[in-house]
Amino acid sequence: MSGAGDGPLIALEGVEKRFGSFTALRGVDLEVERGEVVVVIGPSGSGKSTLIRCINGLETHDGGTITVDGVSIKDASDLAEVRREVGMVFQQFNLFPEMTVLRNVTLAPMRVRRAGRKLAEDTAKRLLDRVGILEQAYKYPEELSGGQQQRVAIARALAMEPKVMLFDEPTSALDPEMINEVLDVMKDLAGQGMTMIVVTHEMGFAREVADRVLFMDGGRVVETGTPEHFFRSPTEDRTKLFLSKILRH
Amino acid sequence: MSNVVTPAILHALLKGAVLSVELSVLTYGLALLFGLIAALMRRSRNVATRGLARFYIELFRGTPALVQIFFAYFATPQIFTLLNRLVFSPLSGGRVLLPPHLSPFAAAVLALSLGYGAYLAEVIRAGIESIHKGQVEAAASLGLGGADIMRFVVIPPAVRLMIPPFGNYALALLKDSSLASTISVVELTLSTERAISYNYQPAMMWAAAAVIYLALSMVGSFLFSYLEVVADPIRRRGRRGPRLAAAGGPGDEEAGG
Repeated sequence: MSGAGDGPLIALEGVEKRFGSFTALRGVDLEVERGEVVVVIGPSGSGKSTLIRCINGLETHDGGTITVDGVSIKDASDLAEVRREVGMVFQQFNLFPEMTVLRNVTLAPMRVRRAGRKLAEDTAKRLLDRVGILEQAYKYPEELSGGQQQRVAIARALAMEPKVMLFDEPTSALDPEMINEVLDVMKDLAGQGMTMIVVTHEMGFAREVADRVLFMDGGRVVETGTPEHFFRSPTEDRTKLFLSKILRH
Repeated sequence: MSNVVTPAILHALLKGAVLSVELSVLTYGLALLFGLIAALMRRSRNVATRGLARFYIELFRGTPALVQIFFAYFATPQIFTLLNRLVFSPLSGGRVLLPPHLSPFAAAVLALSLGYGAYLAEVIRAGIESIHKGQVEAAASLGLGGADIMRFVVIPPAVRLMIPPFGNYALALLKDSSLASTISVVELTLSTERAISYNYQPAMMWAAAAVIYLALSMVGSFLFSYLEVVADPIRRRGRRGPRLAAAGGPGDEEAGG
């Protein structure tokens, strides 16, 4: 995994996205350094999910540029090539229901990276052990709890050895008692130096793990800063209003 | 009563039943093929391709199977003659490419398979479209290509969903195969009619025919129930649990791993 240079791993410049007459992103700039953990917060409809979905090309952006490790995703000859470097974890887990947990994790390495079965399974078991569910390897997704499914989804993304991991509200579909088991895995990942962009409503996670917090509203980045700056002394009124609403309880 | 159910009559019914099964199985196979092609065409990016598939489906879903069978049997000789004279003969230097008419069996297979293909096309399309978009996105974000996404992520769960409606149409087709009797295919229904003209026992003979159809349907029904189990990974494995569920842990990995 040789980097293309010393520049930021992810760079967005003036990114715009429209869905019909609705503008989801209005000129977003963002640079993410290697090893950095960026947490994106904001009200629903603010463009947070669209932002990270643009980074791996699940949504095509209408304006501006997005580069991943120096490669513009518009110019990429094969979008799949960019995607294999960018892991993604979804709110709804999106595991493959017809496959065992182990097969969920080995599919992409075997089909995309052409890894042999033995190697892929050894790697998968190591990753499942790391997220604490090795004993579920031969079960099917529907036999697992939500928290377990999400941990499988994280292991599945990690199996491609991505340079960056995107998390799209990974705990929003979970029962409260399962949120921490997923957040713990993410904290562990951040601690090991993984570059991460995390869309979440978990302010505790943002405080504790983020190097930088990004507040979005109306398709724009309203404010960005360290968690300390962000939660202690936000400068924008819109940020203060949002924080006062979610931190009151 | 000794001459009511003779070996010859039993033999005739049996032969009719065998032909009904042959007709149904062959037709169903072709219908699956037509249905798959039409379903894929309906999902094409090309408007004309989509339109053609739509036209086929609406045409065959919207006309009676009996009319389609009559058309395939009685109208094709006229059409084939015309095509031979105007198109094929000039192109091939006077040779006649199309036969003067279709055999009753071929006409029945053609009409019923096109008709059922239209229904199965919708079953296949619905099955493919019912797959959660998120699973396709997850596969794409892992770097899997379009063909792999179809093969590993979309088709297996989609086929599982298609099995019950496939079963319904298979049973409906078995019963609709009796329509082939109207163009002199000697399947179970026409064999029964002919047998009655020998023994004058309509009550007994039609009851016998009904029982044979029912028995065949039940075989089909069990077959599709079995397929449902086979296609469901958890039911296939058994609910008792996976092989390694109890032990687990790192110590459970294969030796030398």
